[in-house]
Amino acid sequence: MPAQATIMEIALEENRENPGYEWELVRRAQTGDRPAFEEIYRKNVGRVYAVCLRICADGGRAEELTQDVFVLAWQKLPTFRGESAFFSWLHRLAVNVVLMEQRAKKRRAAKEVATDELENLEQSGLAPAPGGRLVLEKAIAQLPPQARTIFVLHDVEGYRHNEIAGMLKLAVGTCKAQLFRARKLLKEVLR
Amino acid sequence: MNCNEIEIRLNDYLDGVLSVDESVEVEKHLESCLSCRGELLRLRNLMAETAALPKELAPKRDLWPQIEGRIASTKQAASYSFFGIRLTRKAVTMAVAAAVMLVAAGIFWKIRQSDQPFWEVGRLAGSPKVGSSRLVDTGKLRVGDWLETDDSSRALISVGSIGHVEVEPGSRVQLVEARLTDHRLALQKGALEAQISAPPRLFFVETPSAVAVDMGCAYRLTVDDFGAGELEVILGWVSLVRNGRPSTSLGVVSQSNHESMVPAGAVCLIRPGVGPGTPFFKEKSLQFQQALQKLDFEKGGAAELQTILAESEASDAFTLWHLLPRVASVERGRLFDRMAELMPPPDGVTREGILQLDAEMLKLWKEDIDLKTDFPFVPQAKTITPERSRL
Repeated sequence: MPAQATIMEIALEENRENPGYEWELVRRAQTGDRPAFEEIYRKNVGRVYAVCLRICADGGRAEELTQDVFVLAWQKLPTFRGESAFFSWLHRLAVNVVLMEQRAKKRRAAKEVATDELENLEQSGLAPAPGGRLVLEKAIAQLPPQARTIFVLHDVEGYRHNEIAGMLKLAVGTCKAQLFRARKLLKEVLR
Repeated sequence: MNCNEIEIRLNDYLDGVLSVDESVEVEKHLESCLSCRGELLRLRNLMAETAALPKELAPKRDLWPQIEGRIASTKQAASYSFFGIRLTRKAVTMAVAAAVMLVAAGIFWKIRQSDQPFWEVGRLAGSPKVGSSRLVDTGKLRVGDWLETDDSSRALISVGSIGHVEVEPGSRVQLVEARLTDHRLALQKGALEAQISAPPRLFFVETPSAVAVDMGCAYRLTVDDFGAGELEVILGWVSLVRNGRPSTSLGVVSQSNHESMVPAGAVCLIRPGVGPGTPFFKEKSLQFQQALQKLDFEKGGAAELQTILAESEASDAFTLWHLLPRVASVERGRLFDRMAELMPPPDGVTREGILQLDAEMLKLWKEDIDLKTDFPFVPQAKTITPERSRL
């Protein structure tokens, strides 16, 4: 799978690779089979955690959110009927969980938690990254929350402006303006 | 338009959401402004780096034990089985409600039918048919409907509010989707010419070999009785993808999805079971085209590559770039060396990296090639007149 693959491609690739096996796991988990669900977790945790971490920019919180996503997935699994690829369904669930948390956080007007995301990214167990990648990850983590969310959803995860605007209940124009802002800030950091 | 305005437009330009006219305006400015070209390059680099970020990150600890503890005390949504179909309790309730509604809705069936999404279609010549009905003047092409033209018929489809498609004689076309975010036709056989003015990835044409994804452009697409065909781009860019959607807005080939980015003035063949071939400028010699075809579809090898390399000019760098991941690894060095002669790689792109198909280097080089290649913008095909587009 190339690094630049979008969610749609991942879903396609997933289906091509072994749709029968994936579906069998899901079907078993739907009937309450926990070992099957654990396998689903192992297979998808990296992707779910990545989107949680990049949007909330807080390693500890991202772990909590990842747990929430999988618990919610377990609860809702019987409602999944295979109309979309399983990963697309799970990914959308993850994005919704993170965005709900962001909204709740905004409502509480809590001060943004000082992040340990940089340390987390450095110790994430990934293969050594080319010099530029970690700098970019750090720069994304330091973006203002809304600009960061929109940048991650659009440029990293491949969602379109109208989809993001719908999820965030924003005008498409606001969405574009925030993406412009995020890219401008990132360009300056990377210059 | 000044540089500040251009800076804002560059984002839309790279995202492919500008109209053709706006894109041309931006490109004119770029031609004469070194500073904005630099800005474009920085933005492209950022987008390339972002696209190369890993999709997976590992949490610092195993989260499963806590998840397992939580789900042990969590009930799954209840579900019921109905002739083997799993339904949730909510779904069962909704199904009962739906059954009641269905009775009432049956009364209004015809009204509902008239509310189905459709595009307008007009007769240009002969007797095109929508389903089994002959099209006299104009009519409606609903989702699922087939439009057929015989040897002397032509028709014009209005693609929502974003453009037009002229369906040529001997064609069979189906309207697959008519949503604001997904305008989709299927071309089973024949030929069509599309002129679209909309953000990219809103208009798709499915064929038995590949999906043509509009990136804001005009093009002609043909498909023969065996599902093979050809795409010729008149204006802008078209992405041809074997399955689904293109990988990024940067025009980078994703091998898993076998994508070809076809610029104005270029042609790309498609074949069932293979997908899109390698795009090339249509003025290339017959020898060049035959060698490329053998390489793409007929297990061609070293001899064909030699012909292509010998006949290549600097403007063919985009063709050669598409070949990098497609040729055998033993041939890649030769290909790199010829490309480097024609269009030297930019800083940060090395021979070793390209031989190993480093995704980031491939992107950088592609961006550099796109910047330096003079892709034609002048439409050479017939233009749809106001009378013909009045649907």
